[in-house]
This record gives sequence, C-alpha cells and structure tokens, in this order.
Amino acid sequence: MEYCLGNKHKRDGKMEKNRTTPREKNMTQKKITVKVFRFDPSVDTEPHYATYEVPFSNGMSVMNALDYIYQNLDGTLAYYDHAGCSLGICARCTGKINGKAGLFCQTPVEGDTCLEPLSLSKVVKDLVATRRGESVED
Amino acid sequence: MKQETIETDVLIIGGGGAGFRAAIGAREKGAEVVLLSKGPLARCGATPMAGADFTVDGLSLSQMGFDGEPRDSKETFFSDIVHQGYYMNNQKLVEQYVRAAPDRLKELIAWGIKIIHSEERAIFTSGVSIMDALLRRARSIGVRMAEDVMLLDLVTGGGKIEGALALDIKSGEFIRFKTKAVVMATGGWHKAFWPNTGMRDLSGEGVVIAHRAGADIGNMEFITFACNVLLSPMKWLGSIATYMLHTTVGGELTNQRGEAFLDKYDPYVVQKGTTMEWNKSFISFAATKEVREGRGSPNGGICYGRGRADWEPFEFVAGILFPNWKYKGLDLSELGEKLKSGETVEVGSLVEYFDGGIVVNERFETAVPGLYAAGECALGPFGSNRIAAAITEMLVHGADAGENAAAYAAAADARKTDAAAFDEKEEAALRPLVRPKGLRPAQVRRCIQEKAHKHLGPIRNGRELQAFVDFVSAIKRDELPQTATSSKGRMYNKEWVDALELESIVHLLEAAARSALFRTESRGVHYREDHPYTDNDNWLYESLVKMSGDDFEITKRPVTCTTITPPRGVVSYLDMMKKMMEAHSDVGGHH
Repeated sequence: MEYCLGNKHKRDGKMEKNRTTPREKNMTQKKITVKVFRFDPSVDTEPHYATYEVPFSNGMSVMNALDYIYQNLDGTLAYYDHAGCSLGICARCTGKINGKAGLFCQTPVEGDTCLEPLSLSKVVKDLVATRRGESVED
Repeated sequence: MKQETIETDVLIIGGGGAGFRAAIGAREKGAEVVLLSKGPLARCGATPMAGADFTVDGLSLSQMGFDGEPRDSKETFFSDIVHQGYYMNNQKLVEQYVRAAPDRLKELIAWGIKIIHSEERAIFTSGVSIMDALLRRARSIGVRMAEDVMLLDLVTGGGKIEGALALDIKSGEFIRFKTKAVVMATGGWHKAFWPNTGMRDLSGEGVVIAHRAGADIGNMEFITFACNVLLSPMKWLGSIATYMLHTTVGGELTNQRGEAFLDKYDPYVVQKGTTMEWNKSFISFAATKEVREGRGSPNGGICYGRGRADWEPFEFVAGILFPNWKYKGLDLSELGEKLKSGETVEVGSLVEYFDGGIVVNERFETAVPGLYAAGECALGPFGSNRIAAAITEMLVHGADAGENAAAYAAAADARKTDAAAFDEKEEAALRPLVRPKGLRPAQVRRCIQEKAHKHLGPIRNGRELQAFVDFVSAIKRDELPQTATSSKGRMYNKEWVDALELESIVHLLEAAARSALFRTESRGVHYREDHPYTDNDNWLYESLVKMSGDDFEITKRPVTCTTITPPRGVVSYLDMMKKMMEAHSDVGGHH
C-alpha cells in the first residue's frame, strides 16, 4: 500500500519531503536566497522579513519559488495562490520583486530575490493584498 | 465573531462563464441574485484561460455575416457532435446546445466581445473578452457579487435547497446564505492533477457538494487531456501556446529518440487527429503511449519543433496568434528563438476538460429540488469526447439554468432558517484549523496530484486503476482526518483552504478511478490497455456514481438518444476513432 506521508509520518514522527521529480532534481544544483515580507495583522504589531533557501533552476518564476517555500519549507506563508492563473492573465499575483513592480508568475528568478507587497496599506497577510473594501458588491 | 447572513432568491456558485451567464439569466427574470467567485472577479475559473473558440452551426454563422459554411445546418452539427462523442452523448443536451448557440453568440456580440476571426463552424475571441462582457452585463442589471469566496456546503430542508455556507478566504469569516435555488457552476477539477492547464482555484467542490446533497454524478471517467502543452521552462508549465501553434501552424512531434512517432498510425487518423480538435484525444493518446513505453522526455512529455517547415511562413502564421511572440501575459520570444534555430521544446498531455459531472436533465435540474448545474461541472452534451466548444456549452447551459432557477425560486415557499445546520457545517470546516498538529495539506495534495496524472491519464489499465483506488481510499481513511494548518489564524490561511479542497479532490479522484475501472471498454478519451475495444453491445451506458452512506455505488443508465440510434458491435479503439472521424460531415474547420 502506498501512502503520501502517512507511513513515514508514523515511523519517525517527521514528515517526508515530497517525492522528487526530474524537474526538482535539476533544481538541487544551485541555491538562492529569497527574502519575503511577512505581516499578519491579527498577530504582528509590525512587518518583518523571513529568509528562505530555494533550489534554483533555469526558467523558474518568482511564483515557482513561492510554491517551493510554501509546499516544503513554511506553510504559514501567504501569497495569492488559492485562485489565479500562473500564466500572466489574472494579474492577481502583482507585487514588488527586488523593489520593482511585476507579476510573480511571469518574473524570472535570476538570483537572490526580495519579495514585497505593492502597498503596505492594503496588506491582508504577507504578500496578499486587498482590492475592494466590501465582500459582496452591490 | 461577526456572523453574516445574506438572503437571496438564487445563489450562483462559480465566477466563470457558466456562473456569470446563469446570474444574468436569473436576474433578467426578476430574481435577486448573488454570485460567489472563488477568485478574482471575471478572472478565475477556466474561462479566462481559453483561446477561445465559440462553435455555432455554419449556416447560422453565415446568416449572422460571418465566414460560416452555409451548407452546414443544426442537424449536421448535431450529428457531428454525437459521432465525435462516440454515441455516448445525452442527445437532448446536444439538441439544446445546437439550438441555443446562435442566440448566445448574438447577445455576446451585443454585450461587446471582440471577435478575432471566424471559420466554417466557429468564431474566435478570447476568454478574457467574454468574461469582461459578462461582468459588464451582470453589473449593469444588478447582480450582487462576492470575490474570493468559496462554497463550503449546501443546507437542505425537506430535501430542498434552503441555504449555503461559504468562506470569505481573505477574512477567514463564514458567510451564511438563505436561498431558494442554487446554480452550481464550479467548472472542472484540474487541481486534482499535477501538472495541469487550469487556474489554481479549480478543485471541484461544487461537484462534490452537489453529490453529497443528493445529486448523482456520472461519466466521471471521461477526462480530456489537451496535447502539446508546454512542460518547460517552469514559468510556462501548463500553457497551451504550443497546442495552439501545432494546431494552426503545424510542426513536428518526436519522442526522446527523435522518431516522428505519429508516422506509426493510420494516415487518415493522423490527418484528422492533428488538424481538427480531434487532436486532444488522438495526440494525447499517442504521446502518452510513447511516455509509458519509455520513449518520453525528462519531464514526461514529447518534443515539439518546427520539423521541415520553412521558418518564414511558420513565423508569419505564428505572428498572427502571438504578435511579437507575446501571448496574454507571456513573453514567448525565447520559444520563437528555439523554434527558429531548429531546437525542440518539451510538451505533454495535461488535464484540460471534464466531460462528466453532475447529472442534469435538459432543464439543468439535478435530483435535488432547487439545485441546478451548468457548464463544465455538469454531465454535458459531449459524451466521451469533446470537440465542439466548451465556451458555447457554458453559455447555453448558464442561460437556461439561471432562468429555470429564477422561475423555481419565484414559486418556492419562504426558506426556514436552521441555525443548527449551519453551526454543524462550520464546526466541520474548522477541523483542520483547530487540530493542533498533523499533515501539511499541500504536501498530501502534491503527492496525490502526481499519481492522478500518471494513473488516470489518457491510457489506463485495471491493475493501475485498482492500485490507485486503494491509494486514494487509504488517503481518505488515514490522512485526510490528520491534515492540520501550520498557523491557526483565519485570515488568508492557504493551508486551511488547501485542506478543505483536498476533501473534494480525493472524493472526485476516487469517483473517477472507480468509474474508469467499472467501464471495461475503451471509448473516446477513456482508453483501457486491458480492454482495448469500443463495446457497443454492452457499453452504450453512462456510468453513474451514487452516494450510499459515505461510500459510492457505481452503476449505469442507458445513453439518452433522440434521433441517432447507435450501432451495435465491438470495434478496436483506433478503428472506432477512424469510423467516428469518417462519419463526420465535410463542413471543414477545426470542429
């Protein structure tokens, strides 16, 4: 019987890392540092930055790096991922990459990277920002 | 905690084309309408990702002043759809599709869509243009809309729809709805697979929630894979740009050994199967065969290149599709350079469309009074293989489902509020959030997604399907009850959303895999290595999945036929594909 994480989880109390795919094997050659803006208004009094080491591969986007961090390193990280296209259509993943505005999904990662929201005043959590005040528009 | 309750006549679940068109249909009939969009308004679901083609019979198109083929007719289009679907189509729904398509196109034009060009049986626009037109129309007539809101469950009373519970993802607060009717329009469940071609929101909860509320689901084994989808570089993973290039400009597909593997197949099948939208079933089948037999590329695909085509004419046509090698938000100039220099890129067959779904009748009613379904989440008109446009489907379904839901709501009794039912559902949704420690939802999901891509792809067999069913059952039993979020805050807690979605993903994969195991034949987009024949003597049936307690009962019902009577007999898979291609009219075009 195959399990995702269960067998390993039960055996040594720790979670097994995702199965390595060929794509990720290529990623193990070089690592980059990704510094990410963190702010949870329900807990934090002020923002801070968290730093992560991410395996680098040619052709990866900022979104690919965020996916890696969220799936493997830190499940508390928030970026707009529950919806969105990853292909430059919806523009919901707009943020600052090394100080410059851009789409996380289509901006290539070229080395150490710093990620921040566009505007501090609209932060819901970390890199997620609000667009409208009301949840139901009339 | 703030407790919000919103009252409406019709609640629409889903912010793609079907949901918006249903909202407009219901509102135009005078109903109060609220539409829930899981992601950004008019930029979520599969619609904005579409190219997009809108199919209508050529005669109607030509009468509207487009380049439609006047020798075409509604009857011819109907017949072609039924043959493309290998007779597995619900012919009542095909009739509705063909009949309503011209009106839906006319109104889209009136609402301001941009048409890029037209051909024998289709016009080409963009998914974004359609969504913008629908959003303007919905706003102008007073449809209320909520963004970043996910449906958690339906509330029924006396077997009828009474309300719904949703989650405002950004605030983490629950929203309670009292409503007389619900239209489910949640699209496909691409998120059950990795990689995929879909938006990140498509996890199929609408299908699962309708199923649990008492609707049947069916034909879940028929899953369409788009061929020639970009696998590399990572930032383009899942883009259909190369699918569009190959369909329009041509080029060469080779396996890892450099062999043009399509040469092995019947030239007639290759011709139809590469120049028409038959490519989704034919090339996905042939490419997956190469990969499964060890001749695939490093990331599990094949190679696409220019082949022997001259660069200049190739670039000219490519330039019409992608001016300056730009496609939507993608800068594809690197792809252009590669193709120019004679290099190849890695492409693969990725999940694109779900032919099965919630069982509806031709009024888009489900078995639950007050619950309707429209678009890709419904078991629609295409049988076992879709070639005509899903864009048309979402609009013809949406309009009728919305109008019928409004009529139902107008005649329905006032809803009773059952606060206890809401409390219980909120408690269930909170479980991954309150569980102190456990499995990380995104990691469980990724593992399931990769196995689904491998075992529930275009080529299946009984042994693999059984192992996959066992795997999914074990996840359901042992791991779903153990998922927990790393942080316990409610505002935009991705892991909470992931954990809730995982329940739907597992439900749908089990339903699809068991349906695929049940169907001991090959037909359309479902190929069984251990049953490589289309069996018209024993399998002119839709598969159905019924809830039986917490388990499923897999059963079947005869295909709904009106004017075309399917033939009998058993035919090998590719011969049957050829027969269905030959049965096609000579209208021409991609559909």
